[in-house]
Amino acid sequence: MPRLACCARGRGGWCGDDGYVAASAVSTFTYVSRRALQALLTFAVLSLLVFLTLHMAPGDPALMIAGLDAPERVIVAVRDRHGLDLPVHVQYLRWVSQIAQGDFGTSYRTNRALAPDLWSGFRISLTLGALSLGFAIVVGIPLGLIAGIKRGTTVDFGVMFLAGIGMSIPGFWLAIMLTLLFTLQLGWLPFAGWGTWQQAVMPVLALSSSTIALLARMVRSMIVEILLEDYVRTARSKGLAERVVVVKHALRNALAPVVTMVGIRFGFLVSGTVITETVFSIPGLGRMLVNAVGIRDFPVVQAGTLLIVVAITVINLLVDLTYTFLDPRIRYD
Amino acid sequence: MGIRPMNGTTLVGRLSLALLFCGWLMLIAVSAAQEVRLVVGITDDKDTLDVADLGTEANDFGLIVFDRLVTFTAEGEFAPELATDWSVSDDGLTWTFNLRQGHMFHDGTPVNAQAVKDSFDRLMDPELGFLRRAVFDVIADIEVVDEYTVAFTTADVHPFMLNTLADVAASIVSPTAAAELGPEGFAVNPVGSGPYRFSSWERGTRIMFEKNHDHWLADSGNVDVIEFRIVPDISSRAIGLETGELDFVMRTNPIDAARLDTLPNLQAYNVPLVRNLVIAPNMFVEPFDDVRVRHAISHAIDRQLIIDVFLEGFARVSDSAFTPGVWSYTPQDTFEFDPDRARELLAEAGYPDGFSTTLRVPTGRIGGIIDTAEAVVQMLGDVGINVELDLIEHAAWIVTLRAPPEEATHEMTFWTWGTLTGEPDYAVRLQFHSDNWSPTCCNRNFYSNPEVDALISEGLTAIDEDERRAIYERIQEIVWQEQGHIFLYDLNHTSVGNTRVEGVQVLPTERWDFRAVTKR
Repeated sequence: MPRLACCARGRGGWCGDDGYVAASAVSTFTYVSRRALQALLTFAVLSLLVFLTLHMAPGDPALMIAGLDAPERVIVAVRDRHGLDLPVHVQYLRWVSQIAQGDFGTSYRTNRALAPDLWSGFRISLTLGALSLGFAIVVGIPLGLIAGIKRGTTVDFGVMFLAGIGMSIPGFWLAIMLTLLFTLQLGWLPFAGWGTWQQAVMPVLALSSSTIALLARMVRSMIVEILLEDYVRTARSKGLAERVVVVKHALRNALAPVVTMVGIRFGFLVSGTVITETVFSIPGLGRMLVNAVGIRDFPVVQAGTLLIVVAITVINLLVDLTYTFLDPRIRYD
Repeated sequence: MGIRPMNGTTLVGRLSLALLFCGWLMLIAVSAAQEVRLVVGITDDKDTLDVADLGTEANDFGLIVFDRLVTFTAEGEFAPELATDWSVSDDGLTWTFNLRQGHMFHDGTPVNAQAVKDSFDRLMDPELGFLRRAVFDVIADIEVVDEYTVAFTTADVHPFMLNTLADVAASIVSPTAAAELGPEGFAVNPVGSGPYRFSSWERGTRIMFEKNHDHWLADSGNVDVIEFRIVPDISSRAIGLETGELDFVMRTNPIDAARLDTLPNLQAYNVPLVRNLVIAPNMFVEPFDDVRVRHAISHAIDRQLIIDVFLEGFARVSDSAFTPGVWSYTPQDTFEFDPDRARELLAEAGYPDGFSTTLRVPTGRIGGIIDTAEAVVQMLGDVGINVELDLIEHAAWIVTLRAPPEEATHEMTFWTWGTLTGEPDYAVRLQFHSDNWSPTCCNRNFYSNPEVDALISEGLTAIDEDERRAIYERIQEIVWQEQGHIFLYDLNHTSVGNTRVEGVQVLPTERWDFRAVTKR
């Protein structure tokens, strides 16, 4: 590993005491760049897979655009306009070079640039996913903690029973049940749409339920395991208050696998929101993608999938980086 | 250092400001409360707001943003809209329309004969290539006779000119705005002369229209703002109706529609549509080329049962290739549900033990189709016809339908047709003329009958109305007798609206007219 001179103004941080960039900073940088290259490879492979699957599936976008009853010449004209009669690899390379230049392309359906609609849908799905994840963390981790500490008591059984239900309930069923209760019966919340906090309550509840259940179960089993560890006994015998033992020592160690789970769930939440978005009429990316597949709007499907893959990859990279803070034993050299 | 008390003038000044502010707030609240808003729940966002580029997706907003020369009434007659009266030349080739005077587009430009001509020239422009252009190929020339008189000339006699001009695609657009905005600009900012003007479009969420106070219908309704709310989920729309957040929904599930109709504040608009559902047997596949087999299939299906069980009465047993909303519709003798007769016919045709076949079912677009398919399988199984279902996604189905006879892979398939112009020719030529076998157009099961071909051509050229009617009656007879399609049922609307909403016209030609609505 080459030694890089440090041009920072003073010592500390990236700069070691010897005037060179600290080894740990360099190694993190190398680690991130390696991951970035891996990511680029992932994007390339996945986008190619999506492209091939779309083009090999039955269904002709030219027909969908022109309409079933359109005369042959109209369909030929549409095909020509979108380059659909070119060989598949040529079409793919054209698309790749377009994306590389920042041009996300034109939707077959609307005949306009698809980027603005895609971004707006992405922001909405991201917000919905983040809110659901945040809510799941805020509710699920403490629930799991309590269940773990009070292992074997009624509280523990109660929480685990609820968690079991939460994991088994299908999302769309919960969504409709919530609507029947809060909208029809009680009249507290609007039945659909996105924009006000009232409109966010039911979608977030519906989406987060399975993640809450998952997190609660996970945290509980980690806590139960850790509380039996030697170092916890040591902490207790040192005379530390139980709360300090639990939070400062036990919980911190329990969090590493939980953080992994959070990263994975985030990917699921961002890409799996289509049912919630449909039931609650939320104009998000999930719904947009499913509709696009149905009408063979290739550019939207490709760009949208790529966007989701990028988001998930970035999240996972961030998650992996947080390990270094959570667990000092983990270093990336 | 104490608190410095306010002196008199400051106090008065601040109090008056506060009062003014409160007054202003109240004024806003009051005027907002007084705005009458009609909220319509629609299934999908529109791809564009230019009706020239849309199919039936234009049949809701297109009617309020634009006017046409003439329009369909609920009874299927023609009524004046921009044209006050009209006449046809003796040779049947020229139609002259007198326009109402002094009407303006939303941008203030006048609606006159020149604007009408420019609007149609734009619609028919091959360079612009609008989706609906081909329908208007019949128009050979448009002449501005004087400021408020316009004449359309056709190359051949087109008896159904009014149907063509009442089409939503024939809406009169502001040529000034169209030229200024260009096709892309106009697609997101349509300018017409209708009772409501386009106001805003939040993609994926809502489209807003506000009242045009200069329109002649302005006093015929009290709705100031119409909001098209995009609610993709069909159950969600039903919930929206129940809570009152939606005033009207164009498409619901028949089960929901039946249930909502029983609620005191909601009513279903169970209006017949010009759309039917049929089973189309491939004429090149044995034994469907034998008319006795087709009759057997027709006798084996209990249509009324399917309608009662799966469609809650939101359909009607077909009794002709035409639906009642089509000019010259004539009911035929229905094929009674008679499994014994079906077995007899099959034996006569040489299939005493029945036979096996497949039924292709497109999923995702036609409501209740899978239930209907399963019922059909059971009913045909009872008479010995062993049917295997071939479920196929809608987009993939469309591709298979365009295959020419030697490549077609369907034995029996569901098929639906909506005679959206109300014209008898539109009901038959594309589906039953042998020139229109796939991939040319819409005769997807390769039906062919020379007598029918000849009659279809005659129907287009007949000048005398009685003669024309006789021709189309004969066509209905033959096609019905041959069961070129196994006609199942004519669909009804499944629209539901709040009882406090009056004046919504739900038309057989798959249109919803909100031009003159009152909301109590």
